[in-house]
Amino acid sequence: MAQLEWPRRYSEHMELHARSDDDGAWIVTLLGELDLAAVPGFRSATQEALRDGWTELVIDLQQVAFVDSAGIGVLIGLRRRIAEVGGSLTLRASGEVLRLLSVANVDGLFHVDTVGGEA
Amino acid sequence: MNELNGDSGYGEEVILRVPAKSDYIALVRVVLAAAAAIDPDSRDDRVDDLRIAVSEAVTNAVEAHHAAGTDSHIEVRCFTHGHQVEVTVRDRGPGFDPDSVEAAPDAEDPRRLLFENGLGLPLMRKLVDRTDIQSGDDGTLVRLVIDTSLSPS
Repeated sequence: MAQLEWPRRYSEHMELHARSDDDGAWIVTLLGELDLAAVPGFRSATQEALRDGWTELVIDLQQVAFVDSAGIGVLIGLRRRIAEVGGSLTLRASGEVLRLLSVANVDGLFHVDTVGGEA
Repeated sequence: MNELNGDSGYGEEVILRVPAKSDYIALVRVVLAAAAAIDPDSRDDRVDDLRIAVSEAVTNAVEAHHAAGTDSHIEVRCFTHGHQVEVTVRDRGPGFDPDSVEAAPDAEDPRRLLFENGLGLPLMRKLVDRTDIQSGDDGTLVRLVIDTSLSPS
């Protein structure tokens, strides 16, 4: 299978970097805007990580300038798939993203790490 | 007095016609947020709220056109008058009953994870002062109204 190079650019407005860390987690860093245009690329990248056997995922949204319900929806789907394989999902998020999760009443679904992400 | 800028007293209108493609949603956000921010008294947080609400409305319109298999454009109008911004998003999709959209369970409910969609309408209603939806067989018209000078309620 051809190995795609990181980073990958999935839409005009979103770029995605991925790497493993020393603790065995797969860290996905998004840059740009997580809206409907970015959803297919983000979803396929995270599904690929799960297929490759990664169950501890960290999604770093600290450099994401915009998220809407399309982005929240794909995070909810990822949270469900990771729960199904007994893994863990951690979000790293800025204050703006945290506020939207709160307004959407879904902040309770996610483990959020705000270290270094204070807005 | 420079009549080339400032409030004319009659309001200003910006009209966009964009392809019903997800790549154009960001373009609409940029234009609408810039139009709303022309008012010097507009608050950044309220313009951000409008930016998200507009994104939700246009996303729904793009998905409606996709569902209907139509390649017609989506029309977005932004009317500003004083501190008030009114945005309408018109699509030619199949229409829907806004009152029949199933509400997602609370976050504490394990079934919450089964609902990836359906967040757009509640978000619009929370983020702007007023959200009206007219929907029928010929499509949907979403109207968002916000006073960007006032702090969120």
